Amino acid sequence: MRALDVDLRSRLVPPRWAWLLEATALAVAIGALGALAWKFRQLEELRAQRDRLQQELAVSVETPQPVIRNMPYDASAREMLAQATSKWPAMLEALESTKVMDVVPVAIEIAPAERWIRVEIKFSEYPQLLNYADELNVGFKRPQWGLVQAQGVAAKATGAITSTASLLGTW
Amino acid sequence: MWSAGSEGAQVYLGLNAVGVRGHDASGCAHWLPASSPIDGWKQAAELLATAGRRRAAVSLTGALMRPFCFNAVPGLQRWREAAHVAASLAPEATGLVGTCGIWLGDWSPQATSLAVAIEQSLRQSIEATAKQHRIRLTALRPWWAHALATAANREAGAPRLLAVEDTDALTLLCGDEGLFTAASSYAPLPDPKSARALINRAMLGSNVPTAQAMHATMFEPRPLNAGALESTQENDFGVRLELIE
Repeated sequence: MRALDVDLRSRLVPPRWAWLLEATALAVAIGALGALAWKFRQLEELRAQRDRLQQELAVSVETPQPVIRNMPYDASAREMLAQATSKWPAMLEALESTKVMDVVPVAIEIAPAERWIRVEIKFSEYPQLLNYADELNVGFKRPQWGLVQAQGVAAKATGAITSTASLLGTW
Repeated sequence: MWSAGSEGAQVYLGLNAVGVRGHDASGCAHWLPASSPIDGWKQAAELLATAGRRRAAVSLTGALMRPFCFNAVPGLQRWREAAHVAASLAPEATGLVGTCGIWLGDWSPQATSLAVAIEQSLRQSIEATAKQHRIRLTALRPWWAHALATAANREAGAPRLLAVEDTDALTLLCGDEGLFTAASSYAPLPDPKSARALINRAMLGSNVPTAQAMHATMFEPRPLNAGALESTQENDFGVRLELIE
């Protein structure tokens, strides 16, 4: 046989209000825990954000490069400006006013934006051609015209001008 | 001997008398006659309330709290179901009247358990009176359980048969190695000759030698008739154990 812890007191059954109170307290506790967890999560996110910002601050800050934005018609305006300030009229005047025997300009190509004029010439004698180039450079402080290419053909028998050359004028 | 410390005052409640101890500084038990257990408890409660005691452990005699063996019932799995079945069996098994409250202890579905029954009306009256006098019951137990604890904890080992004689009943408990094989209370208290015959019959039935049978009585019990009741230091609900020869 052994000792027995006999106790015949009635089991205490809590009244309904006690159950209600306990349930309310439990709900409040759960809610508080939930809110606490939510706040903790927010705090963790803020900490992570702070750490990220601190890391970004630690890295050297690169100066943002200015964005160059071309305005509309910028190219056209520049082209117009270049033409307005160009010396190509003077170059054309030199072509018009210069006449050398047996040297005939046959084609002109003007590129104001690139600041050059190309003149195709037919000539018969090289000295005349060189003379023509010198005449063109008269009036300019430094030589504007230069011989780019010349091609001579022997056709003296007929007297026809068959040699061609290219002069390039720049400013 | 009972401690009056954590449990508060000690009350011994019988059919016709009530003993109160720990209600004053003297530590003496104070005995009062009663017309019924409920009347006795009311007197004790008033005494405790007057003395300002708010905690009390109540011990009842074997006539008011009776043990019986609750055999395993096939199909019972839950403690609550077993308590209901035991409560329904208690009146027939113990002789108590009406609905019974049950203590089943460490009941298990496969083994015989010791059950203790009390009339529900008595328990409710005790608890209602305690509540009325703002006394918190720290225990509500049979006095024979205290005798059993005393016998089980003795150095020579627990006996296989214990006959507990209190003021109202003779309670016989038989068992071995922690199990109880027979338990019953006989009330009113049989005369010595009949009590001895009951004990002998139990010893034969359980095959218990005399060296393993003990008799427990209240230490220095006083005759509890109205004319002899008095405060006494000797009769303080203590247990006296004797080997049955």
